[in-house]
Amino acid sequence: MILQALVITFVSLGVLSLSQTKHRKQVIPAYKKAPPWLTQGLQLAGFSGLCFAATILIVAKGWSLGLVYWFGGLTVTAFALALLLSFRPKLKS
Amino acid sequence: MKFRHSMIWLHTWAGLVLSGLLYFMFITGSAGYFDDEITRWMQPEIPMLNGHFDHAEQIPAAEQRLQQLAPNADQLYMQFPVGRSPFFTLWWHIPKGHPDGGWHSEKLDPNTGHPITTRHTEGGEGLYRLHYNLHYLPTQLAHWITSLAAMFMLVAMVSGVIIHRRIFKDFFNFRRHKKLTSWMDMHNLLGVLPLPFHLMITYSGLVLLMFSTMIAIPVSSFGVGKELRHAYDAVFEEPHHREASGIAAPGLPLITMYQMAIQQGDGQVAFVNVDNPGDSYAVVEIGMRAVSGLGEFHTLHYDAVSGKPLDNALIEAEHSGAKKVYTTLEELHEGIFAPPFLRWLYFLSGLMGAAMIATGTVLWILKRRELHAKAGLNTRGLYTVEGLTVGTVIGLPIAIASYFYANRLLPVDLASRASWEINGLFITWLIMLLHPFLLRQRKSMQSLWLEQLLIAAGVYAGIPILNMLTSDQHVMAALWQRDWVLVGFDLFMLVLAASFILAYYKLKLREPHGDFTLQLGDFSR
Repeated sequence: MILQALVITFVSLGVLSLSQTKHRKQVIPAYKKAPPWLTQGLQLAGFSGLCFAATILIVAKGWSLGLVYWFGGLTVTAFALALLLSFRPKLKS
Repeated sequence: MKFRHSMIWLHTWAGLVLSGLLYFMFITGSAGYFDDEITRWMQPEIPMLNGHFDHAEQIPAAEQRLQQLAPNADQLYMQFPVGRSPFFTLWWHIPKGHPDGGWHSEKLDPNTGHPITTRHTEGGEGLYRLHYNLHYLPTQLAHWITSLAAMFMLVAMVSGVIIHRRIFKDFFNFRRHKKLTSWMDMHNLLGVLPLPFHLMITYSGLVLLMFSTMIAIPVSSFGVGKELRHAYDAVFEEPHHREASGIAAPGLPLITMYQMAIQQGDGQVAFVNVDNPGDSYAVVEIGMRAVSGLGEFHTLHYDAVSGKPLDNALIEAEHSGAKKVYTTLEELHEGIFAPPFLRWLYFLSGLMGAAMIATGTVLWILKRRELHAKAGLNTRGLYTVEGLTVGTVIGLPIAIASYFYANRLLPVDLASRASWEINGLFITWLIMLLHPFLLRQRKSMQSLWLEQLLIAAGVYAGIPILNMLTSDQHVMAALWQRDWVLVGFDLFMLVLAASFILAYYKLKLREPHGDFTLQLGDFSR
């Protein structure tokens, strides 16, 4: 359960990062300019993914522990993503 | 704009002034998340467990042993090597007033149940306690100093969030090979991403020490005399589950209650506690490893004489809301509920906090270096700060390694051995702090960093070898027995050594002086 939530968190953050021009440029240079519906869609997908991960954890672990897991997972996955975007942007997607 | 500038000033100085102490607190506090594991490694006399721990066989023997050791104890406690705990320990409490009143303990061989003598060490708990008792200072003073540091940390965090203009836009942003910008990005990442952890740990840390720092409030209602003591006892003392009746009555063997507990609850039994053994109102408490929630255990209670289950709700003392908040914050801070995965998250977040402080200090130095060079100022003060930074950022990990070396190399029968281990830590740290200033000729900063990085890599790589030479519990043996605590400890030491050597080569490959140059424009962002 935790592992799934962690993967969902990571992917959602990745999607969120793609909604930003700066990071989209790193990953897929051709898509530098994106229509607003795409960035908004990516944002929506990313945030709903994060909420979904939170829901999974809260259901599995209860409010107190679920939120602790969620924040902890957010921290490490976001850090991993930041390093990934910087060192190996092409690996992503 | 003026407000932002004042916040930048506040962030810079609130962060820098106690940065060394905060770094020390973050590192030793993080190590505390593995306190039992560290203690286990530091007591190689404890044999490795063969297969599973056999409760049914060990409980009756342990009960007998406790009756021999402590016929007049008013509380007995058995801790089993289950879950995170690597120890099989007996505890007993002799009531106050007796010549040896207080808690006593004995460690047992988890395979045979025979008592074992372990070397004196403060272990992981000693390491972890450093982050609020500072070892050499009186407790109250240490609490005040660490609380002050936590307050500075809180100020630095809040002002840091205020001055960070693009906190969400730069959420994943790390630009490499940009000199100062790279340091800035890394500092931001390390500050922003674990921010929930940082806020929680700093705030709860302050609350945990409030009985030292906010002493004026209880004193104003209870005075400084006996009444204050009573008020504290009322809040903190774990109440006995049921007052003793004073009538002696033989209790059932503990194994009976154990058998009932494993039928009733799920999970492994981690401890057995007996209140007022031998009394007709004695209570047996069986602790199972908790499956959910912030607490570490869930417990079942039994009447020791009849073996009847007692209602948990009647026994759990009613706590006020304030006490509950305090306990929750304490549990969050200490992460006592955390299973291995979450424990690693805690540990990594703690290390990220330490790295945030280190990168912040490095940023300060880099900026000053440029300013000083431009203005042609005397660089002695700056050199002092830089030297102390090297001696802390790299020197402290070296000092902690020396704690492990002292544990294995000091003679086992040395008087006050445990405190010499900690003295060893602080002496080594002092040497590392003095190292930049020892030689008459000033060294280049780069060579200082390189030297200490190399020492750090060397000492950490040496720890598994030290383990092999001074005990029979080296990695291969531990792997064979599937003792993951011992395997994990040695492997993690190698990971640390590898990180230091990686940092060494990264730094060495830079040209000697072009390394830390920077553009001033980066800072006015």
